[in-house]
Amino acid sequence: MSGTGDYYFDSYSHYGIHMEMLKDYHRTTSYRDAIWRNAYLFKDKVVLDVGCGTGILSMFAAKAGARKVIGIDCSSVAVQARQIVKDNGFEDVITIIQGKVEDLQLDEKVDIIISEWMGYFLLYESMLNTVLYARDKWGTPDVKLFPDGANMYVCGISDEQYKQERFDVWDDVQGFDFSYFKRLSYIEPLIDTVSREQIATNTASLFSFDINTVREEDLAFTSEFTLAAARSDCVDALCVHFDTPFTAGHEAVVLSTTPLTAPTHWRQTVLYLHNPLRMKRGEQAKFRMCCRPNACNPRDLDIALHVEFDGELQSSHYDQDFRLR
Amino acid sequence: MPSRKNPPPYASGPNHNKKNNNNNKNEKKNNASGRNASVERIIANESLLATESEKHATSKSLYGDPGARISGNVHNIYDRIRMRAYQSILKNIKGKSLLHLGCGMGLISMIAARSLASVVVAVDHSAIVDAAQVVAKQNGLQNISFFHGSLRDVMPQFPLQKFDVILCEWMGAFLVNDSLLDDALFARDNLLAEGGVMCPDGSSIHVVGVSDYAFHLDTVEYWSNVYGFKMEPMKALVRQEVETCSVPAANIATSTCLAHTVNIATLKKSIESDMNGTGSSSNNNNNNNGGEVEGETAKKMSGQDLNDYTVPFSMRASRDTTVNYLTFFVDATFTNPNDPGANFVLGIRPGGSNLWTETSVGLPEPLPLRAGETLSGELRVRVVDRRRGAAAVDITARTDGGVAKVETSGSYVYQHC
Repeated sequence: MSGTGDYYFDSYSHYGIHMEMLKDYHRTTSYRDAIWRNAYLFKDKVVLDVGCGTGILSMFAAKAGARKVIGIDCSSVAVQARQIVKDNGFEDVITIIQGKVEDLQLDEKVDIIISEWMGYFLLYESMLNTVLYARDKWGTPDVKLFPDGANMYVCGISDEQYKQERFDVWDDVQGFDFSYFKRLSYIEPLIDTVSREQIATNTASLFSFDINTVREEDLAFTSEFTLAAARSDCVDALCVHFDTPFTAGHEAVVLSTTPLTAPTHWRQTVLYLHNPLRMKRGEQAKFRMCCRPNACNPRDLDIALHVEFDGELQSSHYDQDFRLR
Repeated sequence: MPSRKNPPPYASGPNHNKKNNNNNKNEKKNNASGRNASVERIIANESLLATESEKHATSKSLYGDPGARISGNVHNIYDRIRMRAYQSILKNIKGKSLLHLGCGMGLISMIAARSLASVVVAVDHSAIVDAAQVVAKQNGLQNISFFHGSLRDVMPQFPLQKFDVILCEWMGAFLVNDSLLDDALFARDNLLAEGGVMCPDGSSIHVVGVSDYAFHLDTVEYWSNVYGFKMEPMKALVRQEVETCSVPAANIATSTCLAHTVNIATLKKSIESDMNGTGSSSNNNNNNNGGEVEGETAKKMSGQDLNDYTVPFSMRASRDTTVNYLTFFVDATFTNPNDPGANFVLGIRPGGSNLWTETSVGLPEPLPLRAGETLSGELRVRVVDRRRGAAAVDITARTDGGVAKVETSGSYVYQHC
């Protein structure tokens, strides 16, 4: 390896992303446990690791006894992954390919697809479409997917302090009325850690699908849910989290991003309500959420929310748009 | 996975005592007080939420435009140090014209407009300026116009072509690597009125020796054993990276050395090609929009190099210590020949809060030092691609032999986000 600035520059790959994902202990060990506790599934099988990054999941699969593992990633970290695989003695089992799954050429179908495709809000910027493409093109008829399920959940939270810091500050900035920025702020969901104390309602199921059968077009969803106040409080925002069960093997493992346990690197997605709901304990609010990729920019998610609440302290019926970008 | 590249949500600044308790709970049913709200929704969706880049499905959305994220602009409200510095120039802006490059949310520009500047023109690459324009209008500011795009593209639409004051924070983490510098130089050579000023006009880089073995363990040694696997190749990636993060005061182990100063007035002229042979050109030679380069002086021709500097540095250890990182701080100064009262320094506070987050590089070999011993070395910075703020940084550093004679060298890559 030469040490010129040019070489370094071409090979530049931000290690921080990979470190953040690997140091996300719950994320990484969920995959590890799902694979190792079901090692019998992997014995002598062909595995595809979609978006392999540093190759960690490919090595888990190889250690579980896979005959052949193909790790594919379009970023230049594939260069490092290839060396890592070699350094750990898996070069006869694991092949690392730098490129797109769409350009992949294999000489046999794959028995298992492992991939950590989940994004914020589960679907934002996720690699799920790539996984579905791989499933349909390269999977055997009974291909096993790790994970094979996905569920999104939503609950109401109170967040007075944040509201002040992020929204109300715009009312008066050095004597200017920046309330237009406040309005725009509501469009931006926030990715942050929600603490369990903030949760003010029950948790409702938002959207679920089976990765064995889901199609790309199914991922634009409309969901109706009801939230009941667990205490008398002001519901300032909706908090969305997800989990992905691994049920392909006999021992199930669930990777969860709930606010009830230590935060993962996905944290939670917070949608601030234009008109917070002052709810008394037991009162119910109805919501309808539509979520689809933005027409101009499919990497962005458009989220439309309809809120219906008739409580003792207030009645609110309104629509609000969000955009995750 | 791409979604990880998202900048983390901005950690909120100091607690803010709200001035007006504007918890307006009078609700508008169904948003139906109607037209205004929905009109604004359309504005929002068409300007701020649909940036130019989005006409291409492959665009990276806000990755290419992080400034358009409203939440990312919250900290500007709390940026009192910067505000106070600019106040000194703003209080004399009455009757003068102002060009603000990299105006962001436009707060400083609006203050200038409110201070009765004759004309304010504010430019930014980010779609946030579309929202700023709405705010300016809503606040009844007449004498201000915002432009979204690159300076050379939008310049023909400016209401005037010469400005008394050009505000631009053109300094990068390594002084000359920021993409705004091209615009600043272009503005200096083409848009500055006779006797006009560039603000800030000077910037220095300071070097400090840092002792942080834990960070090294956490970022480099971490890869020795990742869930039972060796990931040695990742160490090279970590070692070549310039880290951007705050350094706690407790880890600062030497005095501060001012290593290099750049002045906007003496940098070479803007149409110099500024590439040294890597990749794409970051400087559109401007021949196509009437920006005639006039008033070029011989001084500018032979000014400081835009793309490459090599400077020595030397610091003294403040205690018995082992330095394994060098940290760089950038300041900005303004010296106004017409109004010395408006001078300011946006200074640095190693270990405290700084205007720009400091950058650090890990030394391949740690340097053991006795208290008072000199740590010396050289810093070389080469701009690789200014549009991306990218620079190659080479460091040599050595002890004086108080504990042991050690000399170490490393090469690093810096680029924005």
